[in-house]
This record gives sequence, structure tokens and C-alpha cells, in this order.
Amino acid sequence: MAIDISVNTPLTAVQSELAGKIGSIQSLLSLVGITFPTIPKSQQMSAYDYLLKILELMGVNPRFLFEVFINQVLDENIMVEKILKVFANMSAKKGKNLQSATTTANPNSATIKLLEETNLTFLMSKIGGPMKQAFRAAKLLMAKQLAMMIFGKQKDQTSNDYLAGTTDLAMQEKILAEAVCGAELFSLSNNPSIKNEDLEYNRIQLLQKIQKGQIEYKVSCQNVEVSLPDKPEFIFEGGGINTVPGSPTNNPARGISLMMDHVGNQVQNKNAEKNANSAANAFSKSVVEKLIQYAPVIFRSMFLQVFAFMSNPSILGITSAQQLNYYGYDEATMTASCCDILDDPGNEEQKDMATNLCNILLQLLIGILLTFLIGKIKKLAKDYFARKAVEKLKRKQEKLTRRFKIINAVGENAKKAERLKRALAVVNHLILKEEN
Amino acid sequence: MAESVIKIDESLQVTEEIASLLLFIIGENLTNFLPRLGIFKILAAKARPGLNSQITSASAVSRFKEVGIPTGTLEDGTPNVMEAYTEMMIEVIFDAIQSDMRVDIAVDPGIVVQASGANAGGPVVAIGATTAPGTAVGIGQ
Repeated sequence: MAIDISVNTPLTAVQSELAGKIGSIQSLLSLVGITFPTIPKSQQMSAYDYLLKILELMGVNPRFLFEVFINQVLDENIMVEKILKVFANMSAKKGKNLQSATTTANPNSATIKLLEETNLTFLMSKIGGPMKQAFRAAKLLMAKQLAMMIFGKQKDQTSNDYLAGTTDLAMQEKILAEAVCGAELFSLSNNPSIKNEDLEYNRIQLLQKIQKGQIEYKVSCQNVEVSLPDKPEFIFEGGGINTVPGSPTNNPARGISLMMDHVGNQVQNKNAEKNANSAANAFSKSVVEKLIQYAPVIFRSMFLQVFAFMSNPSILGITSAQQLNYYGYDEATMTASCCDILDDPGNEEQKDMATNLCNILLQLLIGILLTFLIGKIKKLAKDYFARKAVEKLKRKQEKLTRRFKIINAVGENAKKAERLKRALAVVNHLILKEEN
Repeated sequence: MAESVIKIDESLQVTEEIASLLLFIIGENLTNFLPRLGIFKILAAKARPGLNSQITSASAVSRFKEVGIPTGTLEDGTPNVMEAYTEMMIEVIFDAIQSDMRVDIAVDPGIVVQASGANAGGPVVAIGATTAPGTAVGIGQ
């Protein structure tokens, strides 16, 4: 084989300039720019996840924001209006005007909005007050049932009776079954790649854990089993784990906060002290997500209460037979359980209430996170640019100082020359002079 | 693939809009910070020394340590190409500014003009204002 003799001929300045320019233009043209494909909204990161990501990047632990959310969800002054809004919206979609008991066929979006407002005003004026009283009376039970749905069956039957608010075993089993059915029904995240089989597998796993009353949480890459205390009363009624429970305070949001601390304490005992806070924080996120996912179950009694109040002859006296014609829904369809929805996922009417309620709660949560984030980012950006400005000013001053140093150096050199002249005059006679 | 049985409402799928809003907030702070130059500061620009690529390169290299870039000859004795690159880049940019940049200036009408003179009737003082906008050119140095 012949030897490949390489040719190494130099280029002139003009030739190399042209070659360089052509090369750079070519590479700029051939470089494929990074293009972001248009991702459908349902496949993008959800707004909730994105806000949490930003908070994490800013080093903010969102637990206190979750607690604000829980407080609001268990506040009758906020939630009664939201519950009635769900009711008003659903009837409006069916063209029902609850005030005048008339129906608009095929209502457009503007009509629906108008009807929703009318219906909400009507419902608030008719049953707003009694609903607030009913909510105030029921919210402690709602929080306890949430705890039961999260932690599952307790070893001690009296604890199950206490959490479920009933000694009816069938009812207790129904609450636990709803916890399994409701777990994956609504997700706060967009999961474009999740498989049906995975969801089913998770439900089976959850069922086993709920029956056992031991829920697992991943803390620092380790699974830690957590459970409610043997006597969960102290969480909701004050007192301590080893002391006599106090009287009910009807502050269920505080109870849920204590529940988060309890999980942190358990992890501290079972895992490591340093993981206590991270476990409590991770659990707080889980509680908020479960609160939204299980809302159709937890708030069901409130929707039934709306029907009960409206069927009162002194209010409207709408009987069960008249419900469908009046609201556009009957009680059973509107308050379908999570398991009913899961059995027939294509039945849009059956899941209307759950869809509305879950989304209204998600909107509330996103609102809390976003409002906080806007304030925080405003402050952060202001601080950042102010600091940058201070640094820039400092550098500018240093630059000025250096310039003055140059001017000063001229004067300094003149002084040095004067000193040298004087010194030379004194020592001149000592310096040996070269003979020419 | 599965989707949740109960879907997130489309009105809550607003990740892109949230990102745009937060970017706007950050950008707003950035633009708000730039101060408007006073007339005396602009007039004092005559005293500016002009751009010098060597001085600017030295300033840039002196700040390398802020971001963890080594300065001077590297440990293995090889020349620090980052310093050479910085000097080259700044030289090219300054060269473009000094050779190619053009400054177009537009002056608003309404500049007060005063003139004095005399005629047979005695001294005359005229006061007026320019009625058309003026233009000027400048060179970046």
C-alpha cells in the first residue's frame, strides 16, 4: 500500500480569514437550534408540581403553606361557599336556575356562568347559614375520617370507632374501601407515562397496608412504616400521648398538624433523628394530596346536607322524586362514591361532583402557593439586583481609587526625585567615580 | 397508558403561564434598576477615557477568581488559554464598537434660541425656539 503523503501548505492571511469565516458560518448554519416541542398541557408538569419545584429551588419548605391550605379547607367560612359553588355550577351546566326553578336548554358558557352566579347567591341566601353550622359540627369528624383513610384500620377497635365516628363495622369498611378506590382517582400531577397496571398494583398494595394500619413512607431512600398512636384521641382533642385527652377543641386543622408531627416523631424513633423533619414535611405533602383526592368522600356528608336542607318544606321542599328535575342531578348520582366512579369511569355525570370539588380544592391550593411565591420572588429579585448593584458600585469605586492612585503616583515620583537629589548631594563625595 | 379518572381542569393547567408571570416579575426588577442618566452626567462623558481592550481584559481576568477560573500560567506550565480568549474576545468586540458602531441622535424641537443685534432703531434681542427635530451622529470610542 502506498504511503499517504500529507500536504501541508500554509495559507495566507486573507485565505485563512476566508476559511475561518466560511467555517464559522457553516457551523452556525448547520447547528440545529434547541427547539422545544409543543407539549400538550396535560403532558406538561402540572402547575402544582411546578410550584413545588420552584419553592424547592428557593429553599422554601412548603409545609406551612400546606397548613394554611388545610386550615382553609376546614374553615366553614371558606368551604361552605365552595361546596355550594360546586352545587351551583353543576345545576348551571344543566341549565337549571334554582331560584326560578326554570331550565334553559343547551346553555352556552356565558349562560352557565350567569346561572352559576344566580344559583350560588340563591343557595347562600337560603342555606348558607345552616350549612356553616353543619360544617362546624362535622369538620372534626371529617378530619378524623381523613386520618383513618390515610392510616387505615387501627388495631384497637375503639380507635376505629372513634376515627370513623360510628360503631357500624360495615360503614368503617366502606371508608377504608373508599380510601383504596379514591387514592389514584385524581392526581395533582400529570402522569403521561403511567400504566393502568401500575395504578392497579398500587391499589392492591395500598389495600394491604390499609388493612394492616401501617403506611410506608420513603425517607432518605429507606421505607419507614408509620402508624397512628394506639389512642389517637390526643391528636384531635389535645392532651398528650401518655396523658388524659382534653376536651375536643374543634380545631381539626391543628389536629392534622399534630398528626404530621407524630409521623416525624415516629421516624425519629424508628429511623434517624435527622430525618424527623424531612419525614414530617414529606408527610405534610402527602396529607394535602390525600385531602384533595379523598375530598369527594370526606365532603359527601356536606353534599347530602345540601339535599337535606333543600328538601325541608320551610326552604324548598324538594322531594327525592323531584330532585332530578330541579337540580339536574339526583342525590345518588351527584354523591357517587369513589368506588362507584372507579367501577364506571366513563360515566361523566357520576363523577361530576368529584371532578368539580377536587379541582376547586386544587385551585385553592395553587392560589396559596402562587400568591406566596409571587411575593417571595419579588423580594428575592429585588434583593438580588440590589446586591448586584452594591457589588457593581464597589467595583466602580475601586476603579476610581485606582485612577486616583495613578495621579497620586506622579506627585509621589516628584517627591522621590527631590529626596534622591538631596541624598546625592550628601553622599556624592563618597561615591567612587570612574576614571575616564 | 392511563390517565386519572378525574382529570385536572384545563383552567388549572397553567404551568407555562405561571413561568411567564414569574419571569416577568424577575425581569421587571431587572429593568427597574437601570437609572436614567442626568444631564450633567451625560455632559461629563467628555472626560471619559474611551474603551481600551487591554484594560478591560485585565479587569475581566482579575475577576476570574470570583467564578473559580484560575489565572496566570496553569500548574502544568501551559499558557492560560482562557485569559488569551478573553483578551481576544474583548478586543474583537471593542474593535467592532470603535470601527463599526454608529450613534444616531435625535434632538427634540423646542430648543430655546436667543439672538441679539442692532438696527437703525437700536439694539434688537430675538428669542425663539427650534420648530423641527434635529439629528446628529456620534462615534463610539
